[in-house]
Amino acid sequence: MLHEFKYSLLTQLREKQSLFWLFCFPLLLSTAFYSAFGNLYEDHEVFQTIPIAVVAQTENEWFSMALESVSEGEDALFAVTEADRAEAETLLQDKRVEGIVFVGKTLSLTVRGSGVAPSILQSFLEQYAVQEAVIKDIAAQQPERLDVVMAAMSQDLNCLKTEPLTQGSMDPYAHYFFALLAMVAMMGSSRGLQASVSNQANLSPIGARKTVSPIHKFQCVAAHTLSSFLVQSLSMCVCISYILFVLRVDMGERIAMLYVAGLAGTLTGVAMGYCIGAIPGLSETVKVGISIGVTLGSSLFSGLYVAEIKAAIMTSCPLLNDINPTAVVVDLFYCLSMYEDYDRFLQKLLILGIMTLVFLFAGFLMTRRKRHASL
Amino acid sequence: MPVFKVFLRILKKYRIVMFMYIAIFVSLSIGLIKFDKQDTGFEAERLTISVSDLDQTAASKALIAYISAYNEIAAPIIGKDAVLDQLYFRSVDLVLTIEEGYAERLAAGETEPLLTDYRVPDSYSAALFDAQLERYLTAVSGYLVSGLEINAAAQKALETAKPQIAVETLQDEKTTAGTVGNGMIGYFRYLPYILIGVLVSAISPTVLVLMSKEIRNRMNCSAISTSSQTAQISLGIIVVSLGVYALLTGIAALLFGSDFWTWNSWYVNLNSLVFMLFCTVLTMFLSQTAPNTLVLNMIVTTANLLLCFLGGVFVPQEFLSETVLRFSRFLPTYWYVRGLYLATGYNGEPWNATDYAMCVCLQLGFAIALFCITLLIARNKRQTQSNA
Repeated sequence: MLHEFKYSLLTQLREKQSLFWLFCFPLLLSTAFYSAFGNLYEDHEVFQTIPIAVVAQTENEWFSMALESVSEGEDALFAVTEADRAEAETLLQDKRVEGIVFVGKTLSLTVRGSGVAPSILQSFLEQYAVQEAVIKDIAAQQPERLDVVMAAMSQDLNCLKTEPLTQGSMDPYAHYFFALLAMVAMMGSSRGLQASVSNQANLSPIGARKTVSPIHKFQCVAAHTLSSFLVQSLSMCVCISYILFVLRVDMGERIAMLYVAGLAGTLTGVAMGYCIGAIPGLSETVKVGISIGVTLGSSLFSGLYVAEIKAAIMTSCPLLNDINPTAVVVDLFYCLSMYEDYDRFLQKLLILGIMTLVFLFAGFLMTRRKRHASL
Repeated sequence: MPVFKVFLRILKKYRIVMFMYIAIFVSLSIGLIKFDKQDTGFEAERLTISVSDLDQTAASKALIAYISAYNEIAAPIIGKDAVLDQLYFRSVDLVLTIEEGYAERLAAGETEPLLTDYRVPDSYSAALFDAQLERYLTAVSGYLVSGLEINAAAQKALETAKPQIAVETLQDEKTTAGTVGNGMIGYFRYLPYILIGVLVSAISPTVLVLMSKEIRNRMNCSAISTSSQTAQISLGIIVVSLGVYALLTGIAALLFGSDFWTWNSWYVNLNSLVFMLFCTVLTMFLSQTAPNTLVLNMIVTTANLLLCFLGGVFVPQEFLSETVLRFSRFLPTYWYVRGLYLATGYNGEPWNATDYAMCVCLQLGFAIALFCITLLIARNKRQTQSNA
């Protein structure tokens, strides 16, 4: 069996084409993902002080004070540049400010277009306008209460308490890396398929040769499947290490467990390939087609191409995420990255373990005790 | 033209791959039409907020009415895990709970904790919600202090907190080329991926078959001259490329109707036609350099992904970092996308004929440079074969 294992391993490592798909392709794809998504969260979702221009057409002491109060300190809402109209418009055109506040008899705002930053600026101005309206309203009806009202309205309201949710990074683009790793795991199906096909006499000459050799078929299959798992695991470990240590994608603190998740996914991928390869009555080409189709299809539904697909399935049909091996592997990485306990991780690992056993058992049942009178 | 005929006959074997690419692309494009909207100036950002009302009073309902005026309200989410999942995938931007006793404690002047929320920490969406909430609660507290009872104060605040600020969008002195729908921009932005995929995956293997040693030898001992063979193969490549391009443009015309027949659409078409030329040359180049179809598949997959990811085809250029963009300038896809943005006035991109011409010329330059390299390789190959 050791002899079988050794040569099966050498055969796989000497195929240049398979080496490309094993090592180069995942690294290239993760580099491409990183170049596209690497800074999206930090640059476009994490709040940074909004640069604005203020054109003072008349003196408005109250507004100046209000603006000053939100433009100071480390967590300032706005960075204010005072300018005349022409300067301010140039700044806006050159995308150096998000909006121009015109302080006249009334406040007005000029922006380049829609977006969250201009909306925050608009909301701040609305807040000032609302305060002004309330004060005018009360001044007209109950002028004696005006001082108390103004004092109450200038107080900081702390009505909202934010509950912490996770210690992990909320970068949604990390999902693409989880999905990529899951795809690498499922690419193990082509290795598992080879393990199965190369031991079937009616599908490959090497299978025919092995069938007439004195070695037990189970040993042959086990050696080839194990070597396939080892090769694919190597690819998985290289890919995880590259994403973690070279690209420095934040996938949480539990690094050792990330490798465990990757290896578990790889085992399922190889087992799935072995099962597909064992389906009777199909040619090798058809089996390869099924394997590629299942890998790419399940990757699509796990959100490799569009992350929202997985989110939509999660809401509308969560069962589909539990029977899709790629989505389960994605969940393993996601759980390790986001959850503090291991409950959900272990639940997903169990599902993956059951899938692996089912694939191996089904594959074994379909290939055992096959005899050929002629080929 | 026997070689041309053989070319088409071999190509027929790859028609499934070609149509599979086109079918997937068209299906995705139909999906894009859903998001097709014209940029009509400023529209305030609307967040998706899941609200659980544990108070169930007129005051809490007034708060929900206020939030829903500026945001989309989603159903309450049960369980911390579900909240985390929904927030992580941005199915919701914020999960808000109005605590029991909200109205009572607000009326009593207590402030903490009336509301609790789960949010993406330090995000723009959280900052926007904070600003919206503060606007409303400041008004409520003002009316409460003035002597109104809680329900009346909440109702009055709801009326007062309506938008009052006039928001204008900057009128650019340099006019844009006009705007077309986002669906059409999306279609043409993804076009490079499909053009490279379809042309290289179908044409290059066909040429590889014709260039294989046995077929090459058979053709060489026929009555057809080498230059005629090359011309017929080239004609085949050009006819198929133009056919694929015409098909994809025709589909665009059908899908985007009036948008497609605007004057800026001609600039979009010229831009994509030049890129198609680059793809055709790339096909010829790969046919000369790839030793077999397996290696060809590896090169195509890798090159296509890198060209599209780094050039701004998959992720809009405005989201790519400066470092990536600096590198992308050496890729034709970057100039294709730039040309598309200029031609469509995407994101308020001002029309500049010189810039547009530069984008088209640079793509043409890439095509010509690659064509020269291909000719050089082909000549060297021929010389090596004749020497052998």
